[in-house]
Amino acid sequence: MSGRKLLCNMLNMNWIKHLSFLVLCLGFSFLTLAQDENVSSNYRAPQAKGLYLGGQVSTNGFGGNLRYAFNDNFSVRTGYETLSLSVDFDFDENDIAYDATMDFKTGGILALVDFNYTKNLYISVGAILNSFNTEVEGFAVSDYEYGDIVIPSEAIGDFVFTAKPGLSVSPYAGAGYRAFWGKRDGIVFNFETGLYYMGPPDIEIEATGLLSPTADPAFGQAEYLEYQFDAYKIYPVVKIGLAVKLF
Amino acid sequence: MKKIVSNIYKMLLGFVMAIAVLSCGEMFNNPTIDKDTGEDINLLIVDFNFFTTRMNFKLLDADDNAQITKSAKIWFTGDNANDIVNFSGEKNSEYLTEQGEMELTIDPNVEITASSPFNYGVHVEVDGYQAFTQGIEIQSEGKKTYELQLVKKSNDETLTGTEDDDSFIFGALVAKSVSVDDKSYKVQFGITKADMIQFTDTNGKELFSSVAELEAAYANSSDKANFLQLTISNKKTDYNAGIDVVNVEGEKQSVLFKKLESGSFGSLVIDGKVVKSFQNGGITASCSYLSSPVPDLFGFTGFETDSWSFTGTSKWFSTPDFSYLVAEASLDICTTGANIKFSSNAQSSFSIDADIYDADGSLIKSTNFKGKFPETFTLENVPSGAATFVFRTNNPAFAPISDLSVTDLCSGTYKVDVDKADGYEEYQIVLKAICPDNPTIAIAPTYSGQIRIKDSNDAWQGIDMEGGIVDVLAKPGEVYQLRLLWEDEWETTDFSTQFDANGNYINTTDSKVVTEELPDGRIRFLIEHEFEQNICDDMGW
Repeated sequence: MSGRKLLCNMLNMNWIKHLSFLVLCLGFSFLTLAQDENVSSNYRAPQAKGLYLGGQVSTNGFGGNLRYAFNDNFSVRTGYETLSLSVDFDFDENDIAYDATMDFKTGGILALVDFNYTKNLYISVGAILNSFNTEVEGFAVSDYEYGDIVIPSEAIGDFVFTAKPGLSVSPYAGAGYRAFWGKRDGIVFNFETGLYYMGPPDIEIEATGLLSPTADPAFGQAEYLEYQFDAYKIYPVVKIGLAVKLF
Repeated sequence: MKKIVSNIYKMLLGFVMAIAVLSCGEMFNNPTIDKDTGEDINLLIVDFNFFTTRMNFKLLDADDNAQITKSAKIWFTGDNANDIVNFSGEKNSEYLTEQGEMELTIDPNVEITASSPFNYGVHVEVDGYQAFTQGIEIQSEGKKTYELQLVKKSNDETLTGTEDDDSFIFGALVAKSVSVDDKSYKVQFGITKADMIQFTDTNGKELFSSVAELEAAYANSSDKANFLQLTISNKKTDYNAGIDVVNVEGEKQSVLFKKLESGSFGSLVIDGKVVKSFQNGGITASCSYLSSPVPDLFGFTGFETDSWSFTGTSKWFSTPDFSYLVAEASLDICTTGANIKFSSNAQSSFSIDADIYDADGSLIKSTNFKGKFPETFTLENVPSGAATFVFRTNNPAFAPISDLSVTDLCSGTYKVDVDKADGYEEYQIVLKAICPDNPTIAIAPTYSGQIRIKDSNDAWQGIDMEGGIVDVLAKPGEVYQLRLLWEDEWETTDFSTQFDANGNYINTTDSKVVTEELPDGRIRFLIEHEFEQNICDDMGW
């Protein structure tokens, strides 16, 4: 009843579905289109080796990174990115008005290995110590007309739904494109798409008032929802970054 | 080299795509559709816990305490009558049931405290029984059980009149003889001769034109003993005492109330003629208390919306359709009484009935204790003084409970130890009820329920469910029936306590039941029950 729509909105996560599909399409198109560039690029440019400091914006947050290229093919990358969003919203459900806040947090500490198979194209694998957490907290702000009586809003209760990834350290795979500018190719722009394997979501529910059985462990409702949503293991990443070569 | 790079690229591309598709495939399924059943998933489980006071009314035959499973009409009057609702939140002018009991609740917006008690009158009509009325005062929120003892309609009783100066007094019985000495009170009817000459027969003709004619007719009567016959219908004298509400000088007050005698006008025959109308005359009824000490309140009483009023020891009836009730009441009542603590060696819900007797062995009240061990109950509206609780043996899961003697019903804490009966084991039931037309919402009610071995004649074990969860005692290897009363219909579901040699649950019922073992070793039954849709319609789901 009251939080059904809210829970659906939160856990249905269609945006993840669509974004994942978009990422796959982008990756596929990008790599396909890159075949010509692959042939024509200045492969094995001697300037690639070195330490790079950069920043990035991605679906996993804003942050910075440090990359060291051992040679033209391999480099290691670490970084930190974070994104916190807090959205207040209200909604009506069965004639009850709710105020709710969705706190969305993602990001983490990255550790990646890049393999450049051309000067500009690379694939990346690694892991992130992720800080993904989505929490929706809400409470009824209107009374509920039930039969001939009115249930006060405080008796309807409040709720907190939390979704965390099943894995705190999530493997990552991606593919990207790097463009080099400057005399020593010292400025690097990159575009990258990838996927984090987050594991099936861990869902926690807290509720009071008439919703309180939803949160009671005896009913296993959190586990049931985890089972229903366990396909949502992937977090899609689209990232752009800019870096400078330190030496 | 270019060819090698191209091949690596193609292999990697294929690998990434394969992993991605394999990983994401299920993401394109709708997660709000149950993976196993293909139906909408149940997202929310809700409770009625916003109702903080539940009132269970049991309709019992006063003769044998058996539940009356005949069509009954229940309605309420008084200050808070309009605050009584069913579990759909509906305020009904009357409630009908054939189940012998009904559970109702109270608008949660109504505060109930000792300084702001909840007052109402309950009325019950059942064919073959006298109309029932009782005043109820609630001092605190919680679970309340009221045993409404209905009295069967009685035979008529005919009294004969004897001359007493300018009146006729009715005292002697025609059909049987009862000594008034056995009673602590006396009720007497009288008609003055001046009134009697006002009476008319079925043709509207006055029976006598004057007092002289009346006296002459009586004097000349060949059967003086039966010259005057007053028939009282439904005369009843052997009522049990109980807690009721009386209006004392404008203040409603809970009292220990005992009806002494009730009846209604049946007929009046004078000199062989049936009286049809009293015209300007009437009949006087009077009552007197014959024992000592005299009760705090005694006399004729009438019910006024939610409480009784004592109107004196004399009453004049001007029409031949009267009824009367003589009662006594003790004002020595404490609104908050002793604490009774129930504990047990079993982890279980319980519903235990008890009859409370005073030091003289007279029944004070019957009460029900419903909860979960250990739980302490504070008595409400009880008389002071020593008393004995006699626990009924109507819950087969418990060994007989010893009588509890208390030194004062109004103070102290008294402990009741309850042992589980031999052969019973501890289980936990988790009930989730689904609405057929809206499976996205389930109900886990805070509600009263009952269980017993299916198709047995065992007494139903009362259980007290909180948020759909209840600890119960049951016999292993049996099929049990669980039922909840929703207005006038029982919602039933089955579960079995049968397991194979490997401990696997054997579901021999049509119910959707799964089991799991709790950390303390007990078995938990997770029962998913489909409500009748009309119940869900009532609730707007």
